[in-house]
Amino acid sequence: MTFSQRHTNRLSPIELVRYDRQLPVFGVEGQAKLKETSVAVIGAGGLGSFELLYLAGLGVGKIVIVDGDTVEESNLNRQVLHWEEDIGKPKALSAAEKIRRFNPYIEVEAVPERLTERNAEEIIGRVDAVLDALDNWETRFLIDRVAYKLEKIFVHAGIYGLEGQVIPIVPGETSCLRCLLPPKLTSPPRFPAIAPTVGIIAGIAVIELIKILTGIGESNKGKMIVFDGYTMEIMRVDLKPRPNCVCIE
Amino acid sequence: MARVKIRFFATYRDLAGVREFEVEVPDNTTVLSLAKLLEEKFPKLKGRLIEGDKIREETKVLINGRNIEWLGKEDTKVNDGDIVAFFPPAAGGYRDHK
Repeated sequence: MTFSQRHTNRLSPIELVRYDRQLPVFGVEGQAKLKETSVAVIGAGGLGSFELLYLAGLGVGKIVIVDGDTVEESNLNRQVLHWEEDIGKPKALSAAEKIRRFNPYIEVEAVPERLTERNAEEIIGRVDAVLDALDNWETRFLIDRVAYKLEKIFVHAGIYGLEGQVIPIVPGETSCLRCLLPPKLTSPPRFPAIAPTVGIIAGIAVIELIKILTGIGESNKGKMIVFDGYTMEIMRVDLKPRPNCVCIE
Repeated sequence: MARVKIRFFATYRDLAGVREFEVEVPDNTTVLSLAKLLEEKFPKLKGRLIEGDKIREETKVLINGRNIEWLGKEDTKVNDGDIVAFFPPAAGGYRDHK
């Protein structure tokens, strides 16, 4: 049996049909690689909703959804996995329920807790990659510290109104996020957010992740991708790590 | 004189109340001098772009898409026709703070 035949066997006939339109992009081996991959999405709000849909659609084999909040009315303009009937439900459970229905051929785990110092190593330790779907820098830098230490891919994503940014971090190949950005960033108490921007930024983050995982295309690891919805420009900014970066031994 | 296009992103745009405009500056103006001029022009930006005599660490400045950290930092000179973008790292995407 050839290598590719063995890989074909890891995808069921129904999965080969389901992923038929993306097999020309990834190949059967790339699709099998996605199936073998586990990703934690930290935050099941706006960015999280779209990241989860895209990961599940792609057939990423295991998805862990981490969020300690419950669904509120003001989430419904952009957090597309949560609907009117979900108000009051834990976001991790509401999102997991939809994603399981969307793609029953993948494993979905809900963790209805906030990511903290206490649980970060345990959660991040059992996945291959982490996607940022957060609204605050404290938790982003916590993910960065733990993911870098455990050598897990971490894709940072953030939005502001019609703008957003993505930075893919690969331990050992790029500096950590704390070195590429200022160490003391604070989050504004409230910021504008609309679904189309969130969807675009989530899409960019997921594309960057799957490029790293499957080796297709040109990765922007260590760079900041800035999307400007006012002009429809996308910039790729070469970030300069701080000297004496904490992640360089 | 040099005519440069300024672009503000995210909170800078909110504070300045403008996204993009052109400004005329003397030849050999540095990014630091330009930022000072912008802080004077838009009082709500005061202290947001500059700290002491340096561009604030969280303020990313791009000249024609190139990060000034790879050029001459705040001493980088702006030239006629340059597009100078100022942006803070974006905020995030999920929780509604109360």
